[in-house]
Amino acid sequence: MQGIETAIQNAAKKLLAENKVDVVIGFENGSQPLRSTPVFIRKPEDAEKLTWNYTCENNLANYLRKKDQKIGVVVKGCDSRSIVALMKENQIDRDKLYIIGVPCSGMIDRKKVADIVEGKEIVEAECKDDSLVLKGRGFEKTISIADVLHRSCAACSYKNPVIYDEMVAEPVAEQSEDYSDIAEFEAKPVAERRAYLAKELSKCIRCYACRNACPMCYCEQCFVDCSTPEWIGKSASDVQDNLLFQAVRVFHGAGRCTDCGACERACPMGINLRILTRKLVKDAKELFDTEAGVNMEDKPALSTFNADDPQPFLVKE
Amino acid sequence: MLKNLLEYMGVDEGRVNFSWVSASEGGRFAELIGEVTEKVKQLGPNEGLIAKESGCCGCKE
Repeated sequence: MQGIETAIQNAAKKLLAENKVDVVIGFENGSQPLRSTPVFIRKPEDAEKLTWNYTCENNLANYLRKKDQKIGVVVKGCDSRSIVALMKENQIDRDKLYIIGVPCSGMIDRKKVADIVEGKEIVEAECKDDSLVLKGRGFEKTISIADVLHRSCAACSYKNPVIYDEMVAEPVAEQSEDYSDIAEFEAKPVAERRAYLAKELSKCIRCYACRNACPMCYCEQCFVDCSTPEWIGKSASDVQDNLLFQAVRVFHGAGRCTDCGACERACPMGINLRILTRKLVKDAKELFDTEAGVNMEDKPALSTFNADDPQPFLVKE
Repeated sequence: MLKNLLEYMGVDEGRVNFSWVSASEGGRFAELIGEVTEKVKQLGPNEGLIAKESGCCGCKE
């Protein structure tokens, strides 16, 4: 981690000093332990602020759309897929982007950590290889990082960036993708699926953090914000509306969602959003044999048409 | 994919129907709509995805 951090800082310093980019987007330490926050570095001497650790969970592809400046960006595997998907949608100009690729071994879910320390305040957190030492008033606890990874990270099959100008460390081992969670949910009876989603979506406070964290969600006007006409009720107390909001949000990502998990990581209520997004990722893979954002050649599944596309949805005649 | 998603989320199977009909195929359109209407009638009224809670503000009293 320390080596990666230094390499990122050096790369940023060099890019800014040589005027290759106007700004480097990366992470800096937040004001609390286990927090880091996106940072915009414009001067070479500020590059020391850049950090790399197990809490750099935001998808920085979110800051790259329709920018005139030359940008250097620190990119994980998931972010890199979002960048590729956005380039295909003409939202990012590759020539103005310098990608500092970082092989990622997953990010920590603070909610899981909070559960382990029973909600006590963590004053200091230190990473030692594969474990995390948490210190607070009157307690010290060592936990394994693998136990507190975000669900999206634990299941990630693209840990290494698919596109980069420079890689700051050796690639990490990949694992094969696994949609067994979705297959399992598909197999459940309708009533059980409804009940589960109702329970999950009843937690929703309609803060729209999931929408804002998603790099692929970039409509200038979102249907949930419209009041004339009011497409959808605004109150979080109506679970049906919450579910409709998610249905539309998720479907807008059909064939475009790279399963980066930024929505779920951003959710303050810990809603299992990927049970919905991954269904579409799985379908795109099964029906059209495509994955969003893994290479520049494949066209997004729903923006192409072939006469022999499968059409299992048609009414049987 | 939309039909898949909706049925996955718990919309009754058979309630979402798609077909291709050209603007010049009036007869076929009428036939399809007839069939779909019949199918949906058999399913009965849509209860929605989530059982509505009684009470004024989401309370269960």
